[in-house]
Amino acid sequence: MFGSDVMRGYNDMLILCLLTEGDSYGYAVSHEIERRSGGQYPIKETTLYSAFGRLEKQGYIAPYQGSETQGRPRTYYTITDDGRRAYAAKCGEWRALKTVIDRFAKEEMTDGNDP
Amino acid sequence: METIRNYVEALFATLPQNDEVLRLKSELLVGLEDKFSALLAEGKSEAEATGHVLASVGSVDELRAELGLPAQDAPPEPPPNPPVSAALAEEYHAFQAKMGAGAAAAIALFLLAPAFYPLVEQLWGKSLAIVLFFLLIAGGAAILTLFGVRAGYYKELLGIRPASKQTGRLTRLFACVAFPAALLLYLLLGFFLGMWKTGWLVFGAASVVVCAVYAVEEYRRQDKD
Repeated sequence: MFGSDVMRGYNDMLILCLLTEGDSYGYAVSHEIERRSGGQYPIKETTLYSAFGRLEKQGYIAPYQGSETQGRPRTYYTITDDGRRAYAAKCGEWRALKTVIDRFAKEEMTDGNDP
Repeated sequence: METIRNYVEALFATLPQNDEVLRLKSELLVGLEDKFSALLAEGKSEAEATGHVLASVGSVDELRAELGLPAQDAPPEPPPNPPVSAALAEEYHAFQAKMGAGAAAAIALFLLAPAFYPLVEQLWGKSLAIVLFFLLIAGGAAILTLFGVRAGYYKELLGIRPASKQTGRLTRLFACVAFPAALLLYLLLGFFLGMWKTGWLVFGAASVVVCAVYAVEEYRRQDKD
């Protein structure tokens, strides 16, 4: 299970990634993040919804009112072109970071979780 | 769902109620309601679903950090000491010098009292000598008491903890009794048995008793901690 401090800085990337696959809304994004992380990262709801607000302010995503289910108006988000560029940049940054961090992760050391 | 709604209300209660925060709150509520319904649909009980949803919300500190707000203002801590004016500190400093001189004068009086005694006794007789002896001792004691009271007053104003608080009650009680008792004994021994030269040993004995009490009390206190 990853704590929110480890994932800080990558929440935006996870959200943008899911939106590149199609428009989505709050619960669907949160559910999908938890599912794809194999339950390893249940994103905090406050983190998720403040990230939506931040990404919207940066112009990376745009909200629109979707269909109402059970009487609840639902806000959908779609990714903008700026958002796609930001996502691509973030992916590049992650690959570079991963390479660097890997140089400091000694393979012969086990972290105590693996058998 | 009512519990969840109340929790979110409480979570947002301390935040500035601007458009951004209000929108975040309403979207969060919709999302949590979706999650709650989904969990019920999975076959979870209402209590289970509520617990699961609440656990996923996050804390108010996380929320504030996400929004770039400063951490919740703790109630302002009362200053450890009352504000001390520089003038007061200056005054205390000057007073300390006077207190040193006062203590020296008191000790001089204490020393003079027995020193004058034989002389006065020879010139004007025993009763006058005793009266003068006590006057000198009383004068010294008065000086020490006055300065002690003033010093306590300054220390309280300046927030300096008096040293006596650090010793145990038993020690203070014994010191209170033992030293005046030793003084009385010394005077009695002197006047009635003429033991001025050897009688001072009672002060040593009193000190030993007080030190012993202090040691025992400290030991027991540390044992307790």
